Parts: sequence; C-alpha cells; structure tokens
Amino acid sequence: MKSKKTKFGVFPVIVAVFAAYYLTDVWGGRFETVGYGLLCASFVYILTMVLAVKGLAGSRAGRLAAMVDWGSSLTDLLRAHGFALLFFLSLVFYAYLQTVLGFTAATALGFMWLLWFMRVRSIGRWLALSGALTALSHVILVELLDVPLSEGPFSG
Amino acid sequence: MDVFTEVLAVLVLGLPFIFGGVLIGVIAGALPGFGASNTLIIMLPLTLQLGMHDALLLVVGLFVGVRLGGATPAILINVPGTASGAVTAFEGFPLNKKGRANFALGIALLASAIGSFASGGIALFAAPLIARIALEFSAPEIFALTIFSIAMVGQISGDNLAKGWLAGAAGLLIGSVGVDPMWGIERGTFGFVPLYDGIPVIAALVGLYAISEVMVMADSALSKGGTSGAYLPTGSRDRAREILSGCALVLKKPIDLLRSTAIGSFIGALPGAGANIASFLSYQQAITFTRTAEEQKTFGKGNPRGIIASEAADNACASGALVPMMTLGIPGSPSTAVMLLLMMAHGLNVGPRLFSENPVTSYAILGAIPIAAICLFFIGFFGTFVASRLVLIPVGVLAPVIGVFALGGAFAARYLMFDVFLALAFGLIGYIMRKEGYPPQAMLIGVILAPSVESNFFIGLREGFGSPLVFFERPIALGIWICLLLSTLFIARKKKQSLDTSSR
Repeated sequence: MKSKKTKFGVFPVIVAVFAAYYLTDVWGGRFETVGYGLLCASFVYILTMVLAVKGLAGSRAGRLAAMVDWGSSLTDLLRAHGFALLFFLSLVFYAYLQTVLGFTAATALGFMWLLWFMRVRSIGRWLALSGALTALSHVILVELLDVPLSEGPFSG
Repeated sequence: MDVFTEVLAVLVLGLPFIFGGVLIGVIAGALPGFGASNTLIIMLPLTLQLGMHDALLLVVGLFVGVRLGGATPAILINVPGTASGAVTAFEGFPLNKKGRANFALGIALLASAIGSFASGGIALFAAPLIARIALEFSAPEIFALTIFSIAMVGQISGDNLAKGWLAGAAGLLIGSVGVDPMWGIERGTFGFVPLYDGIPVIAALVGLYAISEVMVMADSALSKGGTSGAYLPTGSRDRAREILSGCALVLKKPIDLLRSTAIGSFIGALPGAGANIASFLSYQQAITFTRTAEEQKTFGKGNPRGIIASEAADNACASGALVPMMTLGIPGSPSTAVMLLLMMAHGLNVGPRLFSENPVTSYAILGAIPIAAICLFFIGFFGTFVASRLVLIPVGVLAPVIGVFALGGAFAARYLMFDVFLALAFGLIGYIMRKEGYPPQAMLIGVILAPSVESNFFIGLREGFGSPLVFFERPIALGIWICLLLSTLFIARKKKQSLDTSSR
C-alpha cells in the first residue's frame, strides 16, 4: 500500500505551474530578479522531480494516475472530501455576502448556515448561538477593535 | 534625584500602564491579524493622549504580552495568533491532541515570561554592545541566517525531507510575489493590484492554518461523527495543576532557556531579522542539541523543549528589537517602527544620543520589560486558565467561530476584501497539502521569510558587484553556512542512527 511518503499529489503540479508563470514574468529582467526567480524555481523543479521519481517507484502499477491520491472519480472525491469542500464553499459565499449585505448581516446568516451544517440542530440552541456569536463578532471586531468592515446597504 | 531613583519612580507610577499593556497584548496576540503592529496602530491615537512615560510603558507591555497571546490559540486550536506563534504550534498542538493542552500552555507561559525577563535584563546592561555587534551584520549575513532558518524546514517535515523542502521553496516563491524591491518588476501577481505589495503574511497564516484547520475539522466531525477528538475536560484544580506542571518543566530545562533567550535577544537586535527567524532558529537549535536520536524523532509530535525554544526566543526578541531602534534609530520591524513614531511624537530624539539626552526615559523603557514579564506570568496564568476551556467547545461550534474570526483577521491586516479571498485560496491549498503529506507550516515559513531572503539577496549581490561569492566570503556569513552544514549533518547522522537501531 502506498504510504504518504511516496504519494506525489497535485500540490507539486500546482507549484510547478506557478513557478513557470513566475519565470515568464521575470524573464528578461534584471539579473537579481531573474536570479532569485531561478534559484527558487530550480529548487521547486528539482524537488518535484525527486518526488515524482519516488512516486513512480512507489506506485504498484507505475501508472501516473496512481500517484495522485484524490480518488478515481468525482464521486470518490466528494465522498472523501465533500464536507470539507462544502464548508470551504460556505466560507467563500459568506465572504461574498459581506460585500452585499455588510459584515453583521452576512455573519448572522453565515453562523446560521455553518452551525446548521455542523449539525447544531436543536432550534433553540441554533438560534441562540447564531445570535450570540454574531453579537460577539460585531462587538469585538467592529466596536472594540474598530475594524472598518463593510456595512453593506445599512451604512449611513 | 539621580537617574536610578527617577527611573524607579517612573516605573512604579507606570505599573498600571505596563499591566494594561500586557493585558491588551495577550488578548490582541490571540486574534489572528491583530499582532503587535496592527494593535499599536489602532491604539496610537489613545497613546498620544497619554503622558510620554505612560504611553511608552503601555506600548512596552503590549510588546511583551502579544507574544504569549499568539501562542495560546496555536496550542489550543492550531491557529497561531502571530506568525512567530506558528513554531509553537508545531509542538503545542500535538501535545493538545494528547490531552495535555494545559501542560503545553504552562510551558509557553513560563518560557515567555523568563525569555522576556532575561532579555530585558540583557538589553538594560548591554544595549550599546549588542547594537555595535548588530552593525557587523549586513545583507550576506542576514541572508545566510534566513536560509539557516528555512533549512530546518526539512527537519520539521517529519519523514519526508523532499516534501518539506518543496513546501518551503514554494513559500519562498509565493512570498516574493509582487513588485520586486529593487527594480519594480511585477512578478506572479496575475494582474491583481493588491498583490503588488506582496502577499500579506496574515492572509497566508490565516489560510494555511485556520481555514485548512476548519476544513479538516468539518471533515472529521461530519464524516467520522467525532466531536472534540481527544480533548479531555478537567476541573479547575486539575487545569491549574497541569498549567503549573508545565511551568515546573521549564525550570528543569535551563540550558534550553538560556540558549533560546540568547538567540532571541541577538536576532531581535538585527534590523529586519525579526521574531520569526528567532523562533525558527531557536527551534532548530533545540532539535540539533538533542542527546539521542529517539528524542529527536519526538519533535513535531509534542516535544515540550520545542515550545520552550520557540516561546523564549520569541519573547526575547521583543526587547532585542528595541535595542537597534533606541540606540541607532533603526526600527527592525513594523511594530518597532510604530514605537519609533510614538517616541518621536513625544519629542524624543531617537538614535545614538537617546541614552545621553533622555537617560530616564531610555532606561525606564528597558526596565519596564522585566516588570512586564512578571505581569505576563500572572495575566498569562489566568488567561490560559480561562482559554483552556476552549477545548471543551464542540467542534460544531468551534469551526464556524474560527472561520469567521479568522476571515475577520485577514481583512483587518489591510482592510481589503481581496485579502479575505486570498486567505480562502491559501486555505484550500493548505487543505490539499495536509491531505497529500506536505507540511503547510513549511510553506508559511517560506512566505514569512521570503521578503527578507529576497531583499538581502538583492542587496548582497549589489554589495558583491553581482558575484554570488559575497554570500560566502564574509567571515560571519561563512560561519553561519558552516553552522548550517554541521547542524544538518548532525541531525542526519542522528536520524540514520535511529533508523539503524530500529531496523536491528
């Protein structure tokens, strides 16, 4: 069975692609800028190749696809990581909602959804916690720390 | 009245402000995005209303308190409040998962207090000497020092050196995104203007730690039906006893304390180096100076010496950083830059003549540090006692709270929604890294240190007229490279001995 030590994964691919993009930005520039980019990118590519070789050597069938550990289908991916991805998407939507409704309103809706998602299902407890946590966030971030968070349509 | 008596009078009258500063610092340090510099900026208008001594003592208290504040959430929920607290999380959170959160908090508490106290004493008596030695360090030396810090990444990555180094190299690359410091060339920004200034460290910290952590929490709580994992609720007396037992352990490790305090005091005095390097370096040295290979393997899995090393160095840095700012007028970090601004606003001539023209103020600032360290112990004890109840909160409530406050912290760094989305992007990357066995803390180290590595690389090349040999020709820089090589060989030899022993 493949251990985590020999799994290649998608992370090296992401980093290698970014390194290539970075080099296209700096290429042709001054030698210090190019030098730094080349120094970091060369570490990235050398280490990526080392991990790729280890991954291939460790993979039972030696197929490239076997090196990635995210499952062979969308169903597998969702089964293994669905909750985490849904929580993440909830946070993304919450961040977007702040720009539309303002921090406090978005936070109230955000807490209501996230607590429900995390299985806080007793109605009384769910409402009380949502309200209390929203109030706490508002008091700490907006009133005490004076962070100029968005007020949305409630400004002025 | 002589200077000593006047300084004493200032300190006695300023005790409430030192105490208040420590309290504010401990709270602010616990919130990601509200480190020393952000909190100082928020409090600047208030401090300008106070008398000079009161304002400066408040700020000194804040400097000291914020370090411990950053360690508390690092241990309890693996979300460091400050970048330097990330090192404490390496050992503190694994200890927490073993049900020893209060023990880890006790270690962090006393190590922080002793680190601050001792370095305050060092600064009080040796400030001019430290400043003179610090002047010998220029770009090649600081470049070597930062690479030394990053090289330990491989040692904290667990079993796979290549994965740790890849994550660190990725961090170095990502951390240099933005306009380059010398020629204004835009790199890796994808055209986003908010990235021209570089990647905000808080967004990376919040994303790689907090957001990825809540994703993991959601995953384990919902798919496996778990609640708070291995966290064990204990009564008040048991918690207090655990915290004090952590404190007692610190007293049994004087060598670690001394070494870490010395590293923190000195690194803090180097302009531009900062608490992050001190924590990493001190942690790396704690690994290097382990007696047995078996003990070395315990780092990253809850070794208390790791917490002692990072916290003592981190806190020692606070007073170390004040030395170049006061003696040379060179602020070594954003927080000391704000303090410099405050001192100038109160009419002080900061620089080589500060100690001769304003001896009472100068020595009061340095003398306040040991006092703040004592306040830190008492405030920190009650703070950690209260905060340790955090582990009793169900994951179903904790995860949304961490998510909301973490994103608030990401916004608070620059007041840009872009940073919130950036933190979320880092969160996704952090989650992918965790699932594939790449340490996100290694990437964070790279991102944090990238500006320092890059600027010193650029300046060093200029100093050497384009020749990279400049990084190896200077004696101090060469000494650092040799130390790096010896440390790496030493640790590799211990690992090999451990493998040989286990295969037999």
